[in-house]
Amino acid sequence: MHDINWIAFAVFVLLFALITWLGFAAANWRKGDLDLLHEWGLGGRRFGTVITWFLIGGDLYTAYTFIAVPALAFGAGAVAFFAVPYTIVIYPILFLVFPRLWHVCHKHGYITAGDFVRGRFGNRWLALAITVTGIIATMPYIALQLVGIQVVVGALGISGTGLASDLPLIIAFVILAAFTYSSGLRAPASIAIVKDILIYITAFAVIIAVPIQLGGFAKIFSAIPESKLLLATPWAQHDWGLQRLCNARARLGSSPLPVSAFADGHPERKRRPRDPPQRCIAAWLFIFARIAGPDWFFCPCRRAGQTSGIRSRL
Amino acid sequence: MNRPHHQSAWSWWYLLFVIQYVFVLWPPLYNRVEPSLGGIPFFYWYQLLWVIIGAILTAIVYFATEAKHTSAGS
Repeated sequence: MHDINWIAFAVFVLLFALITWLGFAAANWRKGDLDLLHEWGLGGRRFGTVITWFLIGGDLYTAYTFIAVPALAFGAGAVAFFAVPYTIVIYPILFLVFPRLWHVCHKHGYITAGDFVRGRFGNRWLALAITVTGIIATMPYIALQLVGIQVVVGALGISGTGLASDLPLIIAFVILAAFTYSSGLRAPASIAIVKDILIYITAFAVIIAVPIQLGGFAKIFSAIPESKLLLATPWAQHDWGLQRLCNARARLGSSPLPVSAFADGHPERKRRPRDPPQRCIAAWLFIFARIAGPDWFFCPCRRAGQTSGIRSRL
Repeated sequence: MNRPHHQSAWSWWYLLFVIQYVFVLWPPLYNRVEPSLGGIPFFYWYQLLWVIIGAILTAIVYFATEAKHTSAGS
């Protein structure tokens, strides 16, 4: 425990306390009867455009953005950039599909993608299959988040053996589960605001501060081995494009995203039901330009830091 | 089909989306280092540029279909 970075540790503890408080306090936010499933699971469908915008942002830019893609970029180079066109490609799909999905679910009171499938196709087994697929598909994702928390805790300098090494992870997840249980979707929605602000701070730090520290983009990119600077073979290039398209379609099936979109609700604006999710998605597209930052520069920056010995200054 | 008519209306504006699909899903178009911009290889800044262009195209589609929708719906 002697090599704890106390400044980072203090920031971590403060943020963790804030998020824990926010998660539990969220139960009273736009108060509703949390025993009702749509109140618990969709925040009573009363989230406005801004909250939905934050929530969708919190769904899209996640441990995958911050850990998996940068790690791939660090190890494999340019191939990891599939993530950028992938996100460019997915927004129009969401833009076209989600408003309609939202409209149908709003009208019939569907809460999950499974409800929608059962209502639309009248087949319970298909709905079950969709739901089970959603849960299973979320598993690797949760595993990634666990790894992410472990990395963060490790970076703070906290280490141990056996149960002690897993303790911070267990505490974090128990708290997370507890406030999600007590507050429902209101918890992730309120936390998404904090999360998005943190993402902004990180993105600007990566775009502005890190290149200054490392001596500019030219220096950063020149430190990347030539074989990793671009995509390797013609075959890989074509496959890459196809893969991104498939990825973009797969994103529709991932369970958190439809839930966020469903939570949007404006009964008083029923005449224009396609508005809210569409507007949010359009707005996120603008923001993506900046958010793309982390994916972009973690890899070259770290590599540049390592090779030129600047890393210690970070 | 018993669909709400205002929801499934096709608009030619949606074809604007095809542009970004073509330009980002064909890597041979941009898998190169030169011309670099401020030290950033073409491969990288081209993709970031398309994020912005894609956003502009989406905004155009949004406002165009929105205007059409409100004038037709109300």
